[in-house]
Formats: sequence, C-alpha cells, structure tokens
Amino acid sequence: MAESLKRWIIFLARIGGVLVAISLAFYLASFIPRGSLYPSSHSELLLSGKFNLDATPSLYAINPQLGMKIIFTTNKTLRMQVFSLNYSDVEKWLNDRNQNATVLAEFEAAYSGDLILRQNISSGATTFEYFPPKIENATVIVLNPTPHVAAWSFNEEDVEAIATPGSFSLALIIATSLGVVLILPWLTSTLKEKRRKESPT
Amino acid sequence: MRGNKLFSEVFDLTVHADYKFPQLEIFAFLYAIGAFALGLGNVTLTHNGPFMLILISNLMNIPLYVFLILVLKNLAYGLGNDLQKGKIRTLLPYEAKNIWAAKFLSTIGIGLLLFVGVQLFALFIIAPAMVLASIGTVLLTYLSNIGYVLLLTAIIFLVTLVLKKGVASLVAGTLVYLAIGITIQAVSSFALTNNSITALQIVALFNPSTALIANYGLAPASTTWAPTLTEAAVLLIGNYLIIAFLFFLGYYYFCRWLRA
Repeated sequence: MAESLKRWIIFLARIGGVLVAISLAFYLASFIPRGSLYPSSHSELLLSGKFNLDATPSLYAINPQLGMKIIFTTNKTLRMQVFSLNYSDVEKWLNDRNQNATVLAEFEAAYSGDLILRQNISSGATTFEYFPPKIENATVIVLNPTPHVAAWSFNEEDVEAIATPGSFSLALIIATSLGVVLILPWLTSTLKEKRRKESPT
Repeated sequence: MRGNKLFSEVFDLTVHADYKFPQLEIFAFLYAIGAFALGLGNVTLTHNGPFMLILISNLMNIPLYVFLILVLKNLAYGLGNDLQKGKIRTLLPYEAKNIWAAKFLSTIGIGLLLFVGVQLFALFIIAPAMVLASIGTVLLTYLSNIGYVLLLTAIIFLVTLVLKKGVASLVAGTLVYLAIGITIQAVSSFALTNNSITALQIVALFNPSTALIANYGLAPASTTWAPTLTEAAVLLIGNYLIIAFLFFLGYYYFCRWLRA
C-alpha cells in the first residue's frame, strides 16, 4: 500500500513538473513582441450631434491574432461604438441619410446584435485596444453627443500578436498553480524522508 | 486482472527507462515553446476554416520535429539498444504482446499525449472561441499532420526491429526521415510541373495534410488539384490504414523474434 502511494506521489509530481515546464515556456513566449501594422492618424472637428465612421486600418477583418488599437485625443466627451460589420456595408446604409444622432439611433436599433462595444471617451487621450474572440469585421462610429463642436484626433493601427496578454496570464496562473500543487506531496514526503535519514535515532 | 497487472509492471519499467527525470519535462517545455515560436497565423485570412488550418499548421510545425526527436531517442536509439544488449529478453517472463504494447504506449503514446495536450492548451490560449466553431477543420488538420509523423515513426520502428542496434537505428531513422521528406518534395514538384493528379494523390496518401491544404486552396498544388473534403478524408483514412498495417507488421515481427 505504502509502495503504491509512493508511486502515485511520484506520478503526480511528474505531471506537476510537466505543467511547470509548460508554464515556463508560456511565460517566455509571452515576451514575443507584438507587431504594428498600417499605422495611420487624422484629426478633425466633429459638429454637435454628428458622427464619424472608421474601419480597421488594414480593412481586413480582425481576428484573435490581429487586433485594433486606437488612441483618441479630444477636448469633449465623445461616444464610441464598435460594430462587427463591414465598413462599406455601414457606409452604404448611412449614405443616403443625414449623419446625425437620430439616424445613428435607427442604425443601432437595426443592428443591435452586431454591437461589440459602446464606450464614452472623456476629454484628453484614451487608448482603446480590441482583439475579437473570432474573425470579425469592425467598424468604429464616433458620435459627438455634446452641444459643442469637438476637436479630436485619431491614431490607429492594427496590432499583430500571438495571443492577448490576458489569456497568457490566465494560462500561466492555472498551469503553474496546478503544477505546484501536484509537486507538493512529493516534495514534503522527500523532505520527511531526508530528515528521518539524518536523525541520529 | 492479472493481465492488467503484468502490463502495468512492464509499462512502469519502460516508462521509467524512456523518461528519466527531467526528460519528460524538457520535452514538454520544447513542445510548448516550439508551438509559440511560429504561432502567428495568417492574419489576412477572413474565413474560420483556412485561418485555423494555417494557425494549427504553424503551431504544430516545430513540436512535430520535437516529437520526431523523441521517437528517434526512445524508439530508434532506446529500443535499438535494448534489442542489441538483450534487455528486452530480460522482460520475457511477460507476454510478448504486453512488452510490445508497453513499448508502444511509452514511446509513442506518452509523447503523442503530451504533444496533443500542449497543442490544445496553446490553441485555447490563442483562439478558444474558434476551436469549437471550426472543430472539423481542427480535427482534420491535427489528424493529417500527425498521420505523416506516425508513418515515419512506423517506418523507423520497423528499421529498428530489423537492425537491432541503437546507434545504427538512430542513424538509419534519421536517414529514413530525410529520404522520405526529399522524395515527397521531389514527387510534388514533378506532379506540379506535369499536372499529375495521381502523383499528388500518392503524396497525399503519405502526407495527408497536402490534400487538406489543397482543399482549402492554400497550396501551389491547388491550381492543379483541388480535392473535395471527402477525397481529403479518404486519403487520410488510407494514410492511417498504412500506418496500422506497418505497426501490425512490427508487432508480428517483434513477437516472432521474441519467441524465437
């Protein structure tokens, strides 16, 4: 029985060792640098109640390894929305209409299922980064809901990354903690045995 | 019950010999770091299937070489040495089928289990939502890429059984790997220049991933040959039947040699 228990402890410790080795590799892989593609920028004035359309810089659909990064700088509070729709389809829908808040509300109602994100952008600089869970189109709409004219600039780029930092961290926490837990019984039993051998009795 | 106990004993012995600490941990590390070294898919692809195909092919690229090194170490060198020094005969109180199964599971089973485990872990880090959405492509891509490596493994296993020498089997195994790789490349080039679909089908029978890639229109062969998914699946089944036949041949030869 004791021999069988010892074998199980060693077996679990080996699995733990494997998990720790895998987490070490994931930790090193998390340092692989991200790439920046198609950086672009523009600045303009946005009238009260009006909105502006923008697509990802590359015009490719984005995916879990190709995200979008936008740095907004504005002097008013703006509202940003991201839809998982093709830029030209959105443009076509809005083309014959006035670009005001009422039309945008109609658009939101018609495509509520495609809304990925809605976020207020405070005055100053705001960085927004988005990696979708699957392949998606992304069209950004920025509305000026204030009664004043807003000056804003928009620096954007596509970001190429093996995995998002968040998913790496989660995997690391799971693998390392499980690995250490599996190694612990072997470690304690080895230390106990060592002490027993060292004791004079 | 007694059969299980005997198998477990001989399996314990082989695993202990094949994966002395920290060999298993080193291979796990290499599988994981290798997966991410080329882990970036083709970011311009806009459909789930082709995107996952390229992503998984990149994730598997280096780990499959690591798996082959593991096979060469444990199967060609390890088993070759055991045969050369007569260690296998010391296991003779156990049944030949138990010895064969233990060796098979230890050298190939554990290596493959670790490989698949690390791959799935990496895939769930990168694109968990896409794995389930394209489960068919994911499975076919793994099966077709592993099929080629298993075929090489089966041939290396047969070569080891014939040579029965550690170093000689290691050298011969490496040469077999290179020779098959070069032959497949040469036949593919011949097929493309001569528009020979039959030659491409023969290549796909040995390396079924070529049919899958051509099915998605992602290979130079796609202009000559665009197989349907059913055709790619049939070639994949054909590949696994060849692998099963070669391993059975190895089993038969191994048992006959042990009884002699």
